[in-house]
Amino acid sequence: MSVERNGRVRRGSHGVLHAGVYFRNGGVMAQLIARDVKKVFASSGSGRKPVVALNGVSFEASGHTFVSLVGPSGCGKSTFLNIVSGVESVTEGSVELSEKGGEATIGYVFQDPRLLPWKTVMENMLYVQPAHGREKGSREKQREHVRYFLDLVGLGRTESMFPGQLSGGMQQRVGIARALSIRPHVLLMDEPFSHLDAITARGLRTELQRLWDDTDATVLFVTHDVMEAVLLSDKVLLMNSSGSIYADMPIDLARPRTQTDQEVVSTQAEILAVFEQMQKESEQEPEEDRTKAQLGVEAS
Amino acid sequence: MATETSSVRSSSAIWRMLTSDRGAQWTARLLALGIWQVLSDRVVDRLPSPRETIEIMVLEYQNGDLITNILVSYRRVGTTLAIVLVLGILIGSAMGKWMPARYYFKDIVFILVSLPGFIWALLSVMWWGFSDKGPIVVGVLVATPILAINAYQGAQAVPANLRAMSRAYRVPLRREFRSLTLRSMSEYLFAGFRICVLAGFGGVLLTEWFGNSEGIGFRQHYWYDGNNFNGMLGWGIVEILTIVAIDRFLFDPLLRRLRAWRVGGEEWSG
Repeated sequence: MSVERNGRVRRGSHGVLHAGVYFRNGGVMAQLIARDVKKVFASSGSGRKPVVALNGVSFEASGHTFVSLVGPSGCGKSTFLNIVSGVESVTEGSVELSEKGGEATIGYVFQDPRLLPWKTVMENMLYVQPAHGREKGSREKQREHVRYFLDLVGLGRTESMFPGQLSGGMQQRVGIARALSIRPHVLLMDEPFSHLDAITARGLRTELQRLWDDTDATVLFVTHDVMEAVLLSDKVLLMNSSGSIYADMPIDLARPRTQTDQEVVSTQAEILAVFEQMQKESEQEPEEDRTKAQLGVEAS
Repeated sequence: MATETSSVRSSSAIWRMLTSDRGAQWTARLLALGIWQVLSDRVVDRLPSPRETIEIMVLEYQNGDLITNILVSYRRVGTTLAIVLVLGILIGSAMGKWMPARYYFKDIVFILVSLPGFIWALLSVMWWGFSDKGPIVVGVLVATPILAINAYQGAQAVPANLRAMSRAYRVPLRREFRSLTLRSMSEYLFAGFRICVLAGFGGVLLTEWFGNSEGIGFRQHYWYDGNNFNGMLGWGIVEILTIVAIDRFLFDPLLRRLRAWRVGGEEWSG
């Protein structure tokens, strides 16, 4: 075991950090059920049509599962994550998120790091923590807890720095550490590596696989990069531009995976073929028909 | 040879001192005193000189009026600004966050901003006479709308993406208000509160002038009635020095602290 009892991280024999049981939720797993979720954004000006972002999305995920939502820009992937997180509400349908019937904790890694620029890294981490108790030393315990996760993403020495003093990749790692630090039952990730350079993104993907492997969290990962989805996921949900799930594809490949694995490459090709088929069908469908179908959904 | 070198050294030290930031500050102060002296000697009739002004304030001190009246006004201004801070932030942030609050307060705030303190001061004397209430209420009425408008603009500047992040993480509302809302608004609040200090001070002193038996404003009126401009100006200087001291010793350090992250943020260049 690489974790000491007080929660401090110890490096393994190869210099790799291990989270171990420290942020497992005691085997308690979340269940996410989305039933026929529809989301329509009202038009902001007169004469403008309402925008149908999601159109009957249904799926279930529970426990230690990594699900990727893949689709073209504007297909409602991020809207779905916002609905799961409670930032947005559904127009129709429902999203149930529970762990043992109670409320599941949610961690959210956004496209941009979304750190409070006037707070240090440590303060940013503490900002999202549940209120600490009044007993003596509870605040220090919370700091120790947060330090553990900063160490985990290799940023233990940056706790007193401001986000503006960190590179984009480091800020995103703080975002990941912040999400993990609340020991989430569900981890939402909205294109977390899309703003990073290829080398940093590749390193963080590997790191994410390792970190997630040590948790019980259900991950909902939004991306439009098929390779990224194949590399990380147990299941890929392909979404089309009308905001529906076009295909539900399980990925049964051994972990850890690398971009150059033969099976990863061939699975990626299969998914891309389905993706291209979906795009073709979408282009053939007249724009007017799609709008009518969507507004019909809204009217119902 | 040695004497020449040391005189060159000392003259360059004097030059450095004169051209330093502190030197520029003291040059401006001395110049202001000089201009005041010249104006009082040669240009403006009945403008007391710096020496005459100081002399009368020393007399005020000796007969016990200086400290007593300063403390009375400070207490009133302190109470006024504490109330303004709470009301201004609450009204302004409510206006920025909730549409009904915006429509409720918008006209009220703009009417209050446009009403001169002079009117409130006269009304307060009619309503409350020579009590503490008048100066404080007038100060609050004059300064609160200024802070509310600034807080309103600040509340609109709270980054929506950080708000969404806070909601996603179920950050308690109190913590969100303290660490995100208030902090995003802080530069607006700061600018607004600086003007509030001037407006609040002005409101309190104006009411003391019209209808009170204590305070800096009352003493100014007292000397005005006595046709003594030395006393009037002396008390005016007390007011100016107070505002400068608040700015220098309270606002400047606070602003430096508030902006520490910006300085820190500029260090990263990679």
